[in-house]
Amino acid sequence: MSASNKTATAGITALLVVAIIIALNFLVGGVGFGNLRLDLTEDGLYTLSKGTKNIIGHISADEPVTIKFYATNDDRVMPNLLKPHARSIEDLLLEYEKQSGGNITLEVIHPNPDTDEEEKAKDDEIRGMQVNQQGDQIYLGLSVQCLDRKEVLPFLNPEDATAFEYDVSRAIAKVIKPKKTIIGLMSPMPVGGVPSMPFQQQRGPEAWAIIQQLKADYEVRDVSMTTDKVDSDITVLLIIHPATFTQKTQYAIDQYLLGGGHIIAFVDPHCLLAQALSSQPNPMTGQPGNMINTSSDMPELFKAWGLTYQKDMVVADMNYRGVFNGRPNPTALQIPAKSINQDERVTSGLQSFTLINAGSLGIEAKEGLNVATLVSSSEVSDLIDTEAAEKLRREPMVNFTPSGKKKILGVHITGKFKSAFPNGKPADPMPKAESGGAQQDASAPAAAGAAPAAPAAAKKDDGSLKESKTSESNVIVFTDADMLYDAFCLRQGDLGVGAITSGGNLPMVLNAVELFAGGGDLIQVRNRKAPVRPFTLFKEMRESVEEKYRPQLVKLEKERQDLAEKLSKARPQLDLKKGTLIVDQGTMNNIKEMETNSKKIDKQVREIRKEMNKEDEFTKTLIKIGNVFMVPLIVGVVGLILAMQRRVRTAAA
Amino acid sequence: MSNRDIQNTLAVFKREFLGYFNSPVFYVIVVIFLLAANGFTFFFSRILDYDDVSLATRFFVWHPWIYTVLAPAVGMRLWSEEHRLGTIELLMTMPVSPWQAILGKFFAAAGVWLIGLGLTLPIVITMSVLGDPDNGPVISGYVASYLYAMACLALTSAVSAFTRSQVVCFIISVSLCLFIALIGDPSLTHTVVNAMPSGLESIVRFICYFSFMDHFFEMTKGIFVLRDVLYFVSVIVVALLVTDFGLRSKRA
Repeated sequence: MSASNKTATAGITALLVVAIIIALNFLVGGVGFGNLRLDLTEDGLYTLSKGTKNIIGHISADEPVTIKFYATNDDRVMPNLLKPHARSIEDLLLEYEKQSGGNITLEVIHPNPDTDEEEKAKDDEIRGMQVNQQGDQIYLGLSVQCLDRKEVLPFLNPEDATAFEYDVSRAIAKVIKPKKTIIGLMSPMPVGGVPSMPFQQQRGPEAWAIIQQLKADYEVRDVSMTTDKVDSDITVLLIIHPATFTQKTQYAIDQYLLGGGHIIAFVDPHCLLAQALSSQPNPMTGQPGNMINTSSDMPELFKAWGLTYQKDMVVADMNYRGVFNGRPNPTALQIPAKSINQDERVTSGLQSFTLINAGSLGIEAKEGLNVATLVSSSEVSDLIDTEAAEKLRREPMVNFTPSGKKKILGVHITGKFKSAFPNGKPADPMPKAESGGAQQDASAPAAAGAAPAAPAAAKKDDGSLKESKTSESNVIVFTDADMLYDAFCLRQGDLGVGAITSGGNLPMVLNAVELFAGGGDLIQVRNRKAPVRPFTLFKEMRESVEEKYRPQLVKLEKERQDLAEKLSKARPQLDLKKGTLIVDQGTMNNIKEMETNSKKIDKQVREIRKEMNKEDEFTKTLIKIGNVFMVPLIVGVVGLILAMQRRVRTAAA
Repeated sequence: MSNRDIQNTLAVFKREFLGYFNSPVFYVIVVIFLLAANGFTFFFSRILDYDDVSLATRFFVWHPWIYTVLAPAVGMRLWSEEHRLGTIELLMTMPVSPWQAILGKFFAAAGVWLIGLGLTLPIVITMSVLGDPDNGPVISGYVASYLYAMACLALTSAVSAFTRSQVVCFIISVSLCLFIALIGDPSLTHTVVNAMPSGLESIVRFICYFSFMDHFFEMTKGIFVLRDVLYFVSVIVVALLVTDFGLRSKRA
């Protein structure tokens, strides 16, 4: 073989290899044939969870599911941020298709500007996002269809990427299940929104996000606060701020629970929403709003469930204090993951909770019942009365002695419940005595015309249940109702595309409802850890620094307040009769001195804060310098030593 | 590949690999790499100021840009030096086939790079002490970073096979690496598409598929997708084929 022939053969071989490589890349990347994935993340963030697999397993071959995934792929308009997101979604959807064994068909559609596909996306109710001034829109959403049932996810927010699998699995679970689960809703507040009447100009308040989210999956049925029977077709009863429960109502709830129902209740020693609603005029009538008692309780039921609760005491926690109305407030609790029960299915994987003016629960062992604490405060906490809590919204905490004990803020009770009304249905009318939340407030509706308290004399054997029919009933109790309000469980997305869930407040309720509604599969989908992993050591360091300086700061704060009080007294009062203001020199000097002292204190506080920040910064700087310069220095020195050795060796030779 | 092939390749590998440690260039490049990788992470990305120990968006994100400059700096002497000194003729008279030489030299440079990348591990230790990072994305991030570096090295190797000047090789390689990093960028694509006649649009889009970035970032998230790994491996293989072609054409 001549040399040129050899070169030609080599050239052809090389070209062939290149062609094979391109074909292989096209097959795997472009067509997706044999596109294997290996998920290395600890929580399997990119792998279908067991719950999703179960849900996919429930799809019947007779009623297959079609997923239409709409993603604009025109580089001109698709933002950089969304491109990899769209691709990872498509990959995950391919996994769904693969897992289903033919029961799910995935259609990938690219609705680029001015194409027929764009029309398709619009027809399928996918939400376009305008990206430039020419009015071009991008689409990133999907629809899930099974027979005539359709679910649409109009926009898949990249900021909420961990929720994506849940959203899709939920949509699938929904389209393959024709009958809706019913959720009962009891609350004196308009949590479910007020439907607007055609003749009224103003719209009533919208439903809270939690109710809107529940309505997306379930039928939400209002249950009257004064009902004497809870329908047995209600799967889960959601009670938010039971400020006006009569014994009759508690009996109805009791019987509902014993009949196999599930209860999620939010009581509150000092409900800010109720307070705000009471002071607001009714948007419909313009009349002063309905008075709602700010504290709520379910005394008879709590007793039967082995719970104790003081309905006028609020938890203050210096470690877990959050910011409320722009200032740190120890009654605005920010509970971190370490005080959230990660072993309970309802709360596992949740990273934080926000509670405002929460109460504390005590647990008394009851035979047959199993009580698990879901959320608790830190040891640096104590109970304060509602008046003091109200004051904390305006002033900082001055005197605080931690009780050294964690306060229980939320529990999950399971087992065989016994009736809170062993003597049967309470007599009618039967408002309860002392312990009721509403009854102490003269303006509460249930208290109007209250009869004198009488013992719960009741008919014997009226057919009421004495204990749970099964041992599968569940009760969840939280001691804060405000935690469900939008302001405390949502935050605005950075992209400006709607609010996204923040913290565990809403996921906890959705988890619980799902779990109790018998699904159970979806809960395993949602409880995935957020991909953000914090610098835990910094937090601990910051806490210890704060602890070091806290006594000093508290002392200074007290001094400042004392001074402010003295100052306000010392300031000359205007003589109203004469309309003059006479100040003697002594008082003036006194005031001046106090003002100087006050400035001194301010300066000291600033200095301490500076010192605290300095300590933080010092550690960070050490870490930075160590990491950036240490290894290069070592490499440089080693290089120098070796070079010098070589030189010596060369010189010697 | 016969036993003899492997032995020859290993012999070239050993000679080249040890050669790096005798050259001050190696130390300078490693020091610059470490200073850049960690400096960008701690001072530009300010990793400590965000409450997130994951390395993907603040550490690995800089690597492609660093490799764009430093991989050609390591790889420029692969063949250009041999051309300039005329040692290529000597090498080719030895009982070593071009492929054995190409692989030996390439893996030697790759081995050196492995050491450089390995020296960034203290940042992983730091993050593990400060928090609880997910190890999966760290591992996949390192593999992605290494594959990226190898692809840049292979491109440089291909360029150096055609030129006898290290400077020319360096400049062309940096431009090539920069080009291949940038082509996926939407604003750049947009500008080019607007300037081109509409008939050429699909060609521009096809070229965009060759951007390294998309394939790189997918892996730093903690997931290996066959198409991304395959892509980098393909680039390396094709670039080495081109190297072979370059050497043959030079010799001819």
